[in-house]
Amino acid sequence: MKLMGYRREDGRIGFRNQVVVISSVSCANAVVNAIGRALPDIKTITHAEGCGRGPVDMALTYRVMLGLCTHPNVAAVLVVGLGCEFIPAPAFAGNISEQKKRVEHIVIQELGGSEAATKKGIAIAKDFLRYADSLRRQECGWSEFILGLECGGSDALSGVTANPLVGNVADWVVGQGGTAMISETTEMIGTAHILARRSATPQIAEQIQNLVARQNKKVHDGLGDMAHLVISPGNIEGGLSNIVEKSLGCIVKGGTTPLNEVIEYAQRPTKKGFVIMDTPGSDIFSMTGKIAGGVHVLLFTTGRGSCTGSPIIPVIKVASNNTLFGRMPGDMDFNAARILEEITMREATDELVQLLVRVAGGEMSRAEVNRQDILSIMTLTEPF
Amino acid sequence: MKYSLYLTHPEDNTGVVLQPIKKGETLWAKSGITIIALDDIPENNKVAIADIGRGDAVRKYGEVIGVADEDIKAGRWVHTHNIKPEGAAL
Repeated sequence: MKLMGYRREDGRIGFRNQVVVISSVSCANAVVNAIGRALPDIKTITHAEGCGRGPVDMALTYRVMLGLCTHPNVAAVLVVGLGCEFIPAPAFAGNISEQKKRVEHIVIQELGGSEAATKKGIAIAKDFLRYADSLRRQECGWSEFILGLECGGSDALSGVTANPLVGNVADWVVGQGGTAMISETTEMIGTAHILARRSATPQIAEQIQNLVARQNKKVHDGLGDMAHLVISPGNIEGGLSNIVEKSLGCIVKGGTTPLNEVIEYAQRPTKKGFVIMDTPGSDIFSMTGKIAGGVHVLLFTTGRGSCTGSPIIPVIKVASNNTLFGRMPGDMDFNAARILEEITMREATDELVQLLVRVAGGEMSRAEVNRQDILSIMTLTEPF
Repeated sequence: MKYSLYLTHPEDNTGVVLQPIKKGETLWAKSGITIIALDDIPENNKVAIADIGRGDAVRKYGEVIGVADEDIKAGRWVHTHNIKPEGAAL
């Protein structure tokens, strides 16, 4: 199957051609939104960060924002700054430019206010849209493709239908020479021994064991005597007997190939194949980290129903059960429960791979049709 | 024919029931495996599809999810009452 993408000036390949307008600080969000109202074809990114936090979070936010803006699905970026923030728009745009991404910046205080900044921003973004329109897709290989796997609003069938199915797709992508990334460290508790066994080297095995042990300690520190209830009464009622079984249902999304790398939040993988990013289990923080790390398309499994997406990448929703697929048809892209009756796992895998190729090639996922452009940057400390 | 049993991996010794099951019911999997239920089993819970001896590994997803705390005959409900977690990090 032919994979068609946009070759960027830094050599990476993208599968969307977004013109992004992003605030360098939350104070500039209103101007970003005003530009977005005038130009519905652009993608706006607003967030709550950019100032008023300590160095740990400023560095983390910077890495996430830079990862998003230099993502290969992005054709060009306009950075909107206020003028007195911690992440200054000119310096930030300079760092984007160093990675050969087309970028401009505007500063609201220097331009004489939000109205003038909006006007100038619209003009720049219009130019960027024309530039993006001039770009064409070309055939590319799977070796540059990074698939992300995510689960949210899971149910008792998630680990039976949807997660094993996307795990097969992950194996298929890795088999083609590509990369498959899981995250959500909390949902790996109890499976460190399995992930260690899958690790390509003893060093990676040690890394993943330490990572899961650290997350386990966090759960203990946070929940104390309640730590064992990391598996909930609802889970037990649903047939899950312990945390190993629960987490297995989660990590099965990553397929069966060797674990080649463990990376930090919003970091780009340097290895191909199966990789793990350390993120919270909370969906939007987790997705944002993976997207900043360069994931091109997300397969998102859900049992209860999720309606999240991204301004930068397609998010394909895979329902674990028939009831959900019937109840939220406008949000779901694929019904994995069909493997229980209608089709084999192999047939479902083929169908989902074909859908993945079509979506990578430009067909819109339901989250894109619905413009579910959601994003949250993880922080570690209190604002001051 | 509605299948009532689903196997997550060929090496598993447990399967997942897709509806609430009554004792004595015959469970069918798409692969052709049939098992007679020896217990009432709640929806989406596990059933033993082979005899599992006390201390033997209990498998789902092709992985060990625990060990049998007692002899579990094929057809019995498998849950917290008769398996204990093994390898759990908690």
